[in-house]
Amino acid sequence: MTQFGFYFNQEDCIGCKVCQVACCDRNDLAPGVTFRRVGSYETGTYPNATVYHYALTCNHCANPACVANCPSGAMQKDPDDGTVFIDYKECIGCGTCVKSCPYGVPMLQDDKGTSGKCDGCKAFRDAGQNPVCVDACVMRAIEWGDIEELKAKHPNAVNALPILPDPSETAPSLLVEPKVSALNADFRQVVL
Amino acid sequence: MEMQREHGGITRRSFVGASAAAMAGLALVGCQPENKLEKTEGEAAGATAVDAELDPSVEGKWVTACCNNNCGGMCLNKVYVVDGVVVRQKTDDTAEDSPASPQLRACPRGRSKKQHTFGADRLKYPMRRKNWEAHTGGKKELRGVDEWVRISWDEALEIVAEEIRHTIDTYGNRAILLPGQCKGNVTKVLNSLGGYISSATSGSMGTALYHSTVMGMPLMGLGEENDRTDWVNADYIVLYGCNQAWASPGTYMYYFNEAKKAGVQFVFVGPEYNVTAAHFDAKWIQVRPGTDTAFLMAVAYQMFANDEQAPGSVIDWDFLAKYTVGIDGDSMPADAKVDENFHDYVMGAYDGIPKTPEWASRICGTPVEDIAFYADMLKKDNAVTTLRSYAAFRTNDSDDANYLWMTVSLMGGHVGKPGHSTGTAYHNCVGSCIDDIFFTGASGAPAGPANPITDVVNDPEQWSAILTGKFNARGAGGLMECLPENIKDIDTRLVVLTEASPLNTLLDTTGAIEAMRKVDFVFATARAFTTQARYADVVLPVITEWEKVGDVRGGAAAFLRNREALIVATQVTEPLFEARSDKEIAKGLAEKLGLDAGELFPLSDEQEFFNTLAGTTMKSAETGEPVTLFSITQEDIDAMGVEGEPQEGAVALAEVLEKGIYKVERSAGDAYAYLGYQDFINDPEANPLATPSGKFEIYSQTKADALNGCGYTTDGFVWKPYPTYKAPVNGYEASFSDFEGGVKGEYPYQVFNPHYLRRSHTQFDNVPYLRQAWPNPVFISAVDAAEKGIQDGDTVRIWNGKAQSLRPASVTERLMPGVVALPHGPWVDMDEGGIDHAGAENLFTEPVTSGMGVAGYNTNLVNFEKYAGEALEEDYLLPQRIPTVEE
Repeated sequence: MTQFGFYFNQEDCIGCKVCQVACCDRNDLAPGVTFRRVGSYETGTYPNATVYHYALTCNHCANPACVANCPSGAMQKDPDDGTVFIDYKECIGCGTCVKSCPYGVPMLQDDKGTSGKCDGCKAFRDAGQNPVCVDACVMRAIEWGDIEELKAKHPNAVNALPILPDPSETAPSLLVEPKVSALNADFRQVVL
Repeated sequence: MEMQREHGGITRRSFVGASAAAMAGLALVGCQPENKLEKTEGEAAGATAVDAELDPSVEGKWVTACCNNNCGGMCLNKVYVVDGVVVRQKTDDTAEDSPASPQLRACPRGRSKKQHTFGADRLKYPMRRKNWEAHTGGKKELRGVDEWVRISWDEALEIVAEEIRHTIDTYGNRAILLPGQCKGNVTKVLNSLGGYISSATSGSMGTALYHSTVMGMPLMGLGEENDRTDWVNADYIVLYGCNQAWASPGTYMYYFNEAKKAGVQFVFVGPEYNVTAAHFDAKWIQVRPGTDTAFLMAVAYQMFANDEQAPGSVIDWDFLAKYTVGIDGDSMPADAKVDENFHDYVMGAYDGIPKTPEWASRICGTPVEDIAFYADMLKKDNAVTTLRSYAAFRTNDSDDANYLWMTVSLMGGHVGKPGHSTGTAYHNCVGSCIDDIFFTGASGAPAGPANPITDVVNDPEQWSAILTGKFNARGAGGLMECLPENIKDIDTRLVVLTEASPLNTLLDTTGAIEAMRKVDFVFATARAFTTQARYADVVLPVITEWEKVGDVRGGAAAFLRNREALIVATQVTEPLFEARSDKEIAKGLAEKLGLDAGELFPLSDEQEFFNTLAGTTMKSAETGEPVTLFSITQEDIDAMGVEGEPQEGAVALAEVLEKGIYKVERSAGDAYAYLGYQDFINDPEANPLATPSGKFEIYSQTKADALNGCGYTTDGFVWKPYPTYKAPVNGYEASFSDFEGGVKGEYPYQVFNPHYLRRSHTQFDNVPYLRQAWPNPVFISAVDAAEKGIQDGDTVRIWNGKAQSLRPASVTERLMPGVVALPHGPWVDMDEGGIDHAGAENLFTEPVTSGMGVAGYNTNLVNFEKYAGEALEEDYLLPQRIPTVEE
């Protein structure tokens, strides 16, 4: 089956959060709701510490826990491109997906009475455009495509990092070019 | 609060479907409970319903929208406009993206501007303070806490005009103060009536403003860097205090990243290993705030010492002989009055103190081995590009840091050669303010009469001048004109707060608030309820850039520019609500005051826009001469409704108006390649620098005479013509009650103010997306936090003798112990007990004037503790700042 997903070049990410803001703008998200959010992590101790960033969004997993656990059938996997999306007409806003996702991606949208998450900007893709975060990134660090093609293009990319859950749980369609410091298991999330 | 516009041609349902929050923007953006959108029956609740720009039933268009804000990024914003409302933003997609001609992609601030222009907190009509009274101000102590009354434009202009008239008639023009750098069109009105007292500032640049030309650098030490295509030729790029990832991230981080990918080693100097340093895996050279003079002095010492070990291997003596004076006793300039020199001072000949790394380390905190690294890096055979922000120079008594910073580079010959460059990377000038390519035309708007009052108050003194009635007047003649005996009386009665944010961004906000509560009248122009608006008597709503007819961004004279691009923005929407342009406001005042408004403001906005475009030129790649950029047809002129003549140029105006941008493609060694100081380096005799010797002056008699003549150094210290060490006012040493004994004082922590990505200075502090993305904590070192039992997220109270603020803590391992980083620019938010909840950093800054008149933002002292009271709510969850107004 064709499986689409994101490639994230962590080496080039400066943590500016423009992907997060552009996503909020495109999806008209209410305060507190994000479909892509940037976290920052420190490793090392003074004076040998550093910081790196991770732009979290839906990994459009091959074995998505959110789909498996969704009681209404709203959370689905697209048979054509493998993306995971919510049929909002069916979503009852129970929050099961929020609890199921090991990455903590779906969020409840109180203003809409549903959960919500990234669908890879399906409407944009259907119109021949990139997901909004791809074209927003000031460092050109995000790519979208057939995950096998992206893998061939970025042979060193990984789908596991110390800050992420074990990929065996859901088989994320995710490729990360890791910053060296992001491979350090001793990290702490920081607020910037 | 009615909306100004009907949404003809688009039903509410389809509009909400198209972009609920954007529509909500006009009246609803934000987090007030009443802002919640209700589910519409039949609409897929929660869905990202049809995107307006993809929906054939929605009539809209993409417009190039100005990103005018004061970060320096100059990126391209495009907005999708439906019936005057922006429903979606995007950034530069006008051409293929490549390092030769990168898309100018906007940062999160630019991408949030929809919420800036269309926010629920836009001020919609003029208003006056409820307890204001004519001529006296009424209950002046209520400024900042009073309620508001809606008034008409006619009444608002009448009040302001009458207060101006009364002030001039009763107290004279010297009773009017316009603080801040950007004063707007109101100056033309006031100058026509006899003028006002203005303020001068060293602003962002600190000592680099006053001293760079004295030493032989360009004004502000800016404009003689190597072009960005040369950066890959460096062995090392030193980012001296820079933080482009937060200050102006878009294109400049992309440029630097090209150098990183080419294998250039980055080095970062500053008290915090910031996100930019971390991104480039830079080597961190820790230096405490305001101690760069000590650090750089020791670097010079080590370079001299290394060179003595292997003569000629470190210092480029031939370069120094050809291009500088004053490095040692053999190279003194002709005008020297003191028989002393830099080398001998550094080695301890005059005070018995060799300026060794050990000597410096105790002050600046830099490990001795890092000083040794830095000195070794600067040896002549390394290609070193040193680019600075002004953070280290925006400090008290850092006058000689500016000289030293250039001197150590000159010692290694790091100027004017591929890979060797020493200059500034700040704001819009990151390898980009050199040898300009674009030159915008003149708008044709007359400059108006000059200010007849030539007394200028130096901005650290402007609030105390109001409070004490005395100030040390600077002359209006130029940067170097200090007049130490010129203590004058001042009786400020009326303060004008237009365009800039002087209460919040300049030193001593605490004094500013007290001063505002003393004077008789304060008026402000504002788009939202800024600090200026809050403490005023009358607030006039002003339009945003998106409501202007058009704007040309870039070009040699522009404050915001990117060397390789010109952005032409067009009008996004008509002025919202009752907002008027700064020019319209000034015209209205002129009319009320009996002036000839038509003479002061003769041209329409459209005509000024057209004139600017028609006069725009670019440097030809073929000839190097300026050529007309835009071809303009009679149809273009007719469409704009202006007067003008058709002209031939390099590109059709209509095409650029449509696209919004014109760029040049770059490659290494092309016609626009540039090496700093190249003419001087190629032929110093024919192209001397603007110093008495025509060379870089490490010994500058001009400097010593100016500094000692200024009178701002009041502790008995005498400035030498060569760089020496002075412990700064409120610097590291002052954080001790007994420095020699190692006993800390009442305010034992140094505070500095990083530029923060939520804001551009104070702009954007009210924008919900950004408040959510960037929570504005106070950054505390892990070492200090552990000592005080502070955890990440704890509410912290910061205080000194001036003020107290609350902020959530971000505990970090990347900050030097003893240093607190409080981000620059949040809007003052005082509670009833006088505690600020925003972390407005200038509440803590002391109104110190040092050196030649410098405002030292990054040399201030505070204390902090875990707050025992109620914890702060996250900023984005707070109600938007919307004043209660009686209709």
